Amino acid sequence: MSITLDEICTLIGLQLGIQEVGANHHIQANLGADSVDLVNIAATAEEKYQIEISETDLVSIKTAADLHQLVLRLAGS
Amino acid sequence: MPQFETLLEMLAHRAAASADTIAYTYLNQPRSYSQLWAGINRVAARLLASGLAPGDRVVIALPNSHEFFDAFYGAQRAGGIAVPIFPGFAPQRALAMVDLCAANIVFLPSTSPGAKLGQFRETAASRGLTILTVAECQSAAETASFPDVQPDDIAFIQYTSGSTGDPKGVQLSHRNLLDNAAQMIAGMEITPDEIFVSWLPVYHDMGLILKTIVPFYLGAQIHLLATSLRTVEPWLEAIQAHRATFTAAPDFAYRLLLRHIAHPADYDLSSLRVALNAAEPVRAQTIEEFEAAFGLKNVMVAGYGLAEATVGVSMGKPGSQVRFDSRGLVSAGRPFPGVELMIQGGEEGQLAAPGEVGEILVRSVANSRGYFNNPAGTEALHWDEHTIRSGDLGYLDEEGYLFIAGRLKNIIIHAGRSVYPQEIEELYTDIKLVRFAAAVGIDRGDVAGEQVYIFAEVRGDAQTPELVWQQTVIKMVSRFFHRFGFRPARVLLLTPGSIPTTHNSKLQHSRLRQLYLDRQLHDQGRILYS
Repeated sequence: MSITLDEICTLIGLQLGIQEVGANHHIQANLGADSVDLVNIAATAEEKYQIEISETDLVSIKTAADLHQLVLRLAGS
Repeated sequence: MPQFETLLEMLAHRAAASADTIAYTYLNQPRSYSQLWAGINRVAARLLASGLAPGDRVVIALPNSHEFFDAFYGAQRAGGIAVPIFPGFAPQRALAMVDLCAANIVFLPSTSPGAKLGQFRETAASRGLTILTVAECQSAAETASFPDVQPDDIAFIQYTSGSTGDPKGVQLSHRNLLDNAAQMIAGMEITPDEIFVSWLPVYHDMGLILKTIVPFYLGAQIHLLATSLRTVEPWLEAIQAHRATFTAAPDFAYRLLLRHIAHPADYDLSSLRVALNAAEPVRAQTIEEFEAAFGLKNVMVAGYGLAEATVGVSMGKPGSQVRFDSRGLVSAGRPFPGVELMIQGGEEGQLAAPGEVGEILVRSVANSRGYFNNPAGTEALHWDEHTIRSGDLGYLDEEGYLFIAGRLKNIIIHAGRSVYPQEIEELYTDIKLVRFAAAVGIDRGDVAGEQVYIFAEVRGDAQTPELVWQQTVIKMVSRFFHRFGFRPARVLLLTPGSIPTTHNSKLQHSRLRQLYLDRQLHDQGRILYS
């Protein structure tokens, strides 16, 4: 499975209702997400990529790049 | 205003006092009160000859037609109870309705294809059920003696299509119907000079009671059309041709009309005094667009009603500006004379203060005594002896104007905050690619608790570029966020026809939720983009 960083940025943008999501934008500080949004981003990623994100992993996600790395690791690609 | 004790007395009076006066036209074919009364008596004579006993139910599966009235009132004239049902039901579904009300006789259209009648008769015969058509009643003797019908006798049972469980049969007495007709006449300021045009189904409450019983009550003109909304032009043409002053429809029909009529200026609707928008959530945008398109002012008014209170409960004042609240909800006006509205407060048995949202309670002489053969439902319906629970949420403002916030059971509570699906659904009415949206609350069982899921049927297909859907979702989420200050858990774009609705186009939120949770939307390929 090849999951691109762009794809992850789009996923975050859809969830937050914003067009521009940079790989290193801080999802909460820069993009205005709250903790529930972060949970929803994780839940959408879980469903889309058939993975399970733990509580510990969840709090480590700060940027799209972080989520991308995590998804790649969990999806085993 | 004339005082009648029963619907039959009303029609007999009209037939005697103004025999040749037109009772109504259907597709421009006029029918006089004397013709109508004769037709009613023929059906009644036939029913009595078949052994109909007082209080027996007669199911009427007839569309808008002359026959409908013969069968509907004929059943009552014979001492029975009419049970109109959706004529489009397949035999199986129709027979399930027959079972619910334990009827022995079913009316089908005289024009039914032989095959359909045969199919019904075959199934019916094994259950001792009689299938009749009005044509088959023509030869009945006209001189039968009819039972004495009392004001508190049940005239008909109106089945309400609940989103879950079996439909409930609301029992309406002659007195309920005449009382509610009088309430609506007073509250809507209707006079005998009113000219009604209606395509609404006569087998359902608003089309039947407001659009036919009210005009019969006053001897006002009513021009009926077929219910098909495949084309909306006949509706507008009839308003123009008859110089109609009063028409009524649910919001979706007006939206459909606005979408389909390319040149509204071709129609002169200036005769309209009232275009009632009721029976489903009223959108401010529909009112604005309708009046702008046809150059009207203060003609479209929002109304509120429910079958358990016969039908009409409140309506905005004709000729006055529609009242909106700060959230953009449209007021359904003040209750009609003789109707009292209250809002259930936080504690059981307590009433809410002005502005506070709770279940709408209705106290009215036109309240049904309860559901047919359903004591538990009837008990749950009653708040006290004279007051019923509507199952709808709303509030009354300081001046007693009613605002509807949605259905009690569909309320979404996110992080302690109540959101009404209707508030969300209205956010997207002007997005061209979105046919309509439905919002439901889903709790995935995680920390976020119950959250908002938005499902939108969209115009497009698998060929539509993904970027278009992406932009649509971003717009929907961003608009939601600006309105509520938080975001929905998910927005899913669906293929047309995916969101379940009742046959009168009400969204079925709980069914939609179930379809999603059961992954049926996924499995059936309904999700275009998410």
